[in-house]
Amino acid sequence: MAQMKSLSLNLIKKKKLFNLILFVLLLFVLSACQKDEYPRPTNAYYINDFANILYEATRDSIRREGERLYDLSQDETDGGSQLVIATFEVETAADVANYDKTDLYRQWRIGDDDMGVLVILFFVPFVEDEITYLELVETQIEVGYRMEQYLTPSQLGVIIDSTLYSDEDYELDIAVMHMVYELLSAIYMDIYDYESFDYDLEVFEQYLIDNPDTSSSDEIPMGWIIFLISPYATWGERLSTVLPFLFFLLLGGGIVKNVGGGGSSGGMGIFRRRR
Amino acid sequence: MERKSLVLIVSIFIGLAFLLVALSMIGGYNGLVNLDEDINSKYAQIEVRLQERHDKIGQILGAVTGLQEHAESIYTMITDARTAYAQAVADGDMDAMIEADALTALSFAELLVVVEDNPLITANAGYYQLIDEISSMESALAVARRDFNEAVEVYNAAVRRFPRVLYASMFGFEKNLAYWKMNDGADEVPVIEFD
Repeated sequence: MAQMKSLSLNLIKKKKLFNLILFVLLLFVLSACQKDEYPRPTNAYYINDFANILYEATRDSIRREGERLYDLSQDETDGGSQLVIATFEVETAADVANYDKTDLYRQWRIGDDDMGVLVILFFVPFVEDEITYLELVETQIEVGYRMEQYLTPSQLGVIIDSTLYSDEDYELDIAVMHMVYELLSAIYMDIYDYESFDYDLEVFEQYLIDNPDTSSSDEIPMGWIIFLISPYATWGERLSTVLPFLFFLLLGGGIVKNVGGGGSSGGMGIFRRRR
Repeated sequence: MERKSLVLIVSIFIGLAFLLVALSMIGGYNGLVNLDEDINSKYAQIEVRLQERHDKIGQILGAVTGLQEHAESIYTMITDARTAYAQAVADGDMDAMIEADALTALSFAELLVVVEDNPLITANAGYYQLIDEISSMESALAVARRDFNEAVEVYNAAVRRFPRVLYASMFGFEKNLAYWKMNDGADEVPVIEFD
């Protein structure tokens, strides 16, 4: 009888412990699911094309340049600079007011010791001949606290006016890349004392032509799903295709995952709006 | 023997209670100090931004020709705001500083409108770069004010909660710190538009 009582007490204790673990796990999951005000940065980090307007080649180039800047500046004084580009599609130009560049900068924690630059491009859709296009309506740039001393608002204004808002009839991707190169040039030469920063827009233009987008969608292909549910596929075949995909997802959807350096900013930066 | 163990248990209980109160007091006090320091650093940030703006005002007035002749009220407004700010800083008067801040923000917004609409007032080549500097400064000031007010909000809420309300009284912490209040729209950042 006494043995049975002790057994049931043990069971109750184990159940309580189990409930406690469950509760802690639930808290952990809930805290992880806390909704951020803005979307999280992509794994590429340096380019976050949420408006899906840039070519893959442009996105790759921006990511590569961002990674290179971060790596090369690591050992410098005021190093660990990060240049991050984001694009957003908004319904109307007035909806831009729903975004706060400082909040986004702080959420994405750009640059080591506040050595970061965030460029946000806002696009509004318009329809012409039954085709929907996106038009750039506003650009905002935010610099980190420590970056303020190097990249002044007037300097940023000159860069943005001579690239994104230049009179030359650039294609958007080229204009964006031009702006990125000019910002990089200012960072490398003014902060890290590089003698020069050379780039050739024609080379980039050719790179765009040579690397057309292969897929316009990141969605899971239907053929793959059909294969999974097909009665002709064996369980071994299904597992061998699903497992690598799951592994890829667990890694965060990408092999390389760039992250922010933990920086913050204080609202310094510029705005440009197209009339 | 039983009496001894009872005394021991009571002593342990009282000791634990004291320890708990002491830990709570230390935590509460340190928490309030941290919140207070956070406000101080945010306030210092506003001061830095205000000083930067104050220094820029002279440059922007120099970049605009004809302002004094054709828009004397704006010119006077800007110079008055500048003088008021310098006086408020000298007196260490936060309310006066807030007033000067609001007056300067308003005068800059008016200046932009007047320069754009009045052909008799001309701006030199560096004017638009200065406007970038000013709008950026206003944006940074808006963020600094917001950060300060958020820190004050957290502090004010913390000192009214139990048990911190007891420690706040005990250690002489202020219970209702003032916010950096601006009139609606006074801290809106001017945006430059391009054709």
